[in-house]
Amino acid sequence: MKVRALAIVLALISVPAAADKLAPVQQPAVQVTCDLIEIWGSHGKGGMDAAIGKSLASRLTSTLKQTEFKQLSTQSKTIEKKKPTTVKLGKGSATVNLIETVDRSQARITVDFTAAKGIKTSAQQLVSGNDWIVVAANQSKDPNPDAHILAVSCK
Amino acid sequence: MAKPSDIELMQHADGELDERGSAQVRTQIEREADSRTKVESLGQMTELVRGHLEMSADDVPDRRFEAMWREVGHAIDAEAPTGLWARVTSWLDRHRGHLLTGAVSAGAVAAIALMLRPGDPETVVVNTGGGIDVQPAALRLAPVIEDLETPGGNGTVLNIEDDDGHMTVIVVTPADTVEGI
Repeated sequence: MKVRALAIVLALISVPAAADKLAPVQQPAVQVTCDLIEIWGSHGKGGMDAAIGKSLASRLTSTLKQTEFKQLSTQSKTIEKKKPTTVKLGKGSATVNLIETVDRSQARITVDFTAAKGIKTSAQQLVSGNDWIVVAANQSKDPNPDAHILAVSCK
Repeated sequence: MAKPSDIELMQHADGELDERGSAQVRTQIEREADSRTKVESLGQMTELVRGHLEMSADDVPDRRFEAMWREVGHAIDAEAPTGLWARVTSWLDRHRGHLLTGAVSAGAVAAIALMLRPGDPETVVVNTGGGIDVQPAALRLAPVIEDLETPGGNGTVLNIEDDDGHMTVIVVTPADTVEGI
């Protein structure tokens, strides 16, 4: 009887302690998917590249001085939280880092853009899903400079 | 001392009197022949009855005793389970305590083994598909630039809001360079 009771007590004590040593807790990955569109803006007559989406195209036209926009590259990357992802562009590179997501509808990200001629920009922004961050690096101080443009949208 | 009654003589003969009473009766028996005769008669009668009972027991045939034991055995066997399943459940009932002890002990050993085993250093990350929810344009919060660095250049920030949502435009212009200085 004593042996039986001891065995039962031992089992009751051991099971909860062993629970921590069971298969490691699996944490769901926090990540976003970002679209990176590289564009070259100039002062030509070519207008807007048809490959650029209408929503982005109209905004670029209304915001920037350039009159001709040509898409150089487009990529879609899944970026995990706190795992900066570097993307090689046609004329430069960009590193996107997801710091955190906020309220499941916003992302706090940093965009480090190394444009043509080595012009660097680093921006940290809290942005909603499908909204755009555009960095336009003018290539000179001329009145009508070309611009190396990077547009980033995450969801 | 008064003459002992017949009942006292019978109790004395059967050893039912205490020491004091028995001593008194013995004293009277030694004095009175009548009492002595009665006690002797009682003793003889007792011997006759015992002898008769023993002789009666010896007269019971062995076959009858054997038949009695057979009946006892049959009664025991009648309670024994018949059939395979009945025998299995009967065995389990008899050994239930031992089985329970064994099962609990096995569970305790397994738990201890889990505790002592080396931990798996790898943590499996589950890709849930993640992402952030895309709200309707009208419900999205305005973006907030928390930090901006434009080394070697000047930055201008423009915020646009329309039916398609928000867009932040950062225009970077190279800083002035003075040649020859």
